[in-house]
Amino acid sequence: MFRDFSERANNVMRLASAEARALNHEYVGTEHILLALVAEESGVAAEVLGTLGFSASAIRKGVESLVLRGPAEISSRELPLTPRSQQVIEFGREEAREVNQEFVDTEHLLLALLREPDGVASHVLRDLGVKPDELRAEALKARIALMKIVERTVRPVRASIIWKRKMRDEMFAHLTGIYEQEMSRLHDSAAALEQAARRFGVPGELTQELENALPAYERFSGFIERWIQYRAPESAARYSLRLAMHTFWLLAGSLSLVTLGVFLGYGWIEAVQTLTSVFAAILLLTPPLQFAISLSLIKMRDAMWGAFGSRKSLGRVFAYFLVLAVAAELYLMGVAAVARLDLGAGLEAARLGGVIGVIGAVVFVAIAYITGPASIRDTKWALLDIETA
Amino acid sequence: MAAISGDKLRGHLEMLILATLERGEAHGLEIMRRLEAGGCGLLQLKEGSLYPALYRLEDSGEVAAVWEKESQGRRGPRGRIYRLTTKGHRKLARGRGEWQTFVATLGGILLDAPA
Repeated sequence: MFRDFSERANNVMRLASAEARALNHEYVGTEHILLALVAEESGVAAEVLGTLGFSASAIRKGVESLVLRGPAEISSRELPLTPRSQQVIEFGREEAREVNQEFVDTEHLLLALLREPDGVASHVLRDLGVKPDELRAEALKARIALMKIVERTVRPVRASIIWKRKMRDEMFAHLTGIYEQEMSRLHDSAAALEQAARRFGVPGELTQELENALPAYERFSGFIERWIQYRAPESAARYSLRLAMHTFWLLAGSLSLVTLGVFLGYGWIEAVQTLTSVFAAILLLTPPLQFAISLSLIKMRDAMWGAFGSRKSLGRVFAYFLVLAVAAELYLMGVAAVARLDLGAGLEAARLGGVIGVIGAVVFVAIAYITGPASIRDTKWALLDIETA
Repeated sequence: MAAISGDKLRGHLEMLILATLERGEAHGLEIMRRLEAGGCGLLQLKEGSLYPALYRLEDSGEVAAVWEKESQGRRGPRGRIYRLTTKGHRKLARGRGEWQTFVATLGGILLDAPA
């Protein structure tokens, strides 16, 4: 059915269709997806609901009391999804991306279902006394516990973000695998977590082993990157400001050295004066540009992928695209103005700035598209509070 | 048989990993399974310790890794699949040779019990 769904998830969707048909409904709604998830034998849904004290039959009764059986049998072969169900599918895809999985699995469908507060499924759950938020938190408990173990191991390692991303993803995959093995043996989440942690190893020791296994270039990258890495829980604006300040100091240091060198070499001739004013313009205008680019890129990423409180919105992506293009244009015009270029050259700079600005903005949109999911995952890992269990 | 302790093990872990990969490529969980099966569960290896060893091997070019396309029926995210490179095969062959010499030399003395 769906190419990016796992076998289990497609089975759930087929089952949801069957549930709808059994109730003589013309559409597959969120309530049918809920029934299908709960009926799934090896399912996270049944497990999680069981932990909170709800049985599959209680859910079924809840659905049937809230939703009337249809008048006639459905003849059409394929039942369409309601808009809410389609939204659930999309949320499911986001949930899978969040954990670096290409295929949507049943647990992602459950988490997705619980994000749709106006769907029939959420109403059913609330009627039964379950808050969808609580259920979602319960469903995520094991994963968060596993993530914390991995993060305690990986966070202190002094390597580049790419290397750390690889370690996190790999070790998380392994740890999840161990946890699932223990779950099928013990059928108890807390016990399985304990066993998985024991089998995996002690974070402190593992951190040391990982440090020792770093190639030399990684140690170097790690050292450099420490200055420019995101430090949770700072805001996007604060992070961008920090980067802009680094840029300022870097430019101040390097440009003043160059100016000094040229001055000592040639004296205070007109060319040197012009060069100095261009450098001054660059020094003053680059940090604000850097700030604008960094912040816009983050906001654009969030609007493109629907993360950190932003709804997916192509309109906002376009808005940030314009911000980036305009910022680049203003920058180039500013540098030209301060360098006191004549009007003809100034207009040239404006046109050139416009073209460069648009090209630059397109590049940034591509960056947000390609690196967005990974960057969002990195930030989520960084935001984990590993001090508490 | 008494279990084999951590330090003795760590020294040979890379060689053990190369040996298990000789049978075919595998991801971390599978490598662990092969090690357990081969060592009768007496290795007492912490599973996380596989990765520092794998990263060292990867850095010296003895193994290569690619991300798997999908989790192959397992719940949870994808891992990387490791395979032996030519350099890895050579290192394994050398290691085997050294091991056999070691066993032969010391074995002659250690295993010779008085009548």
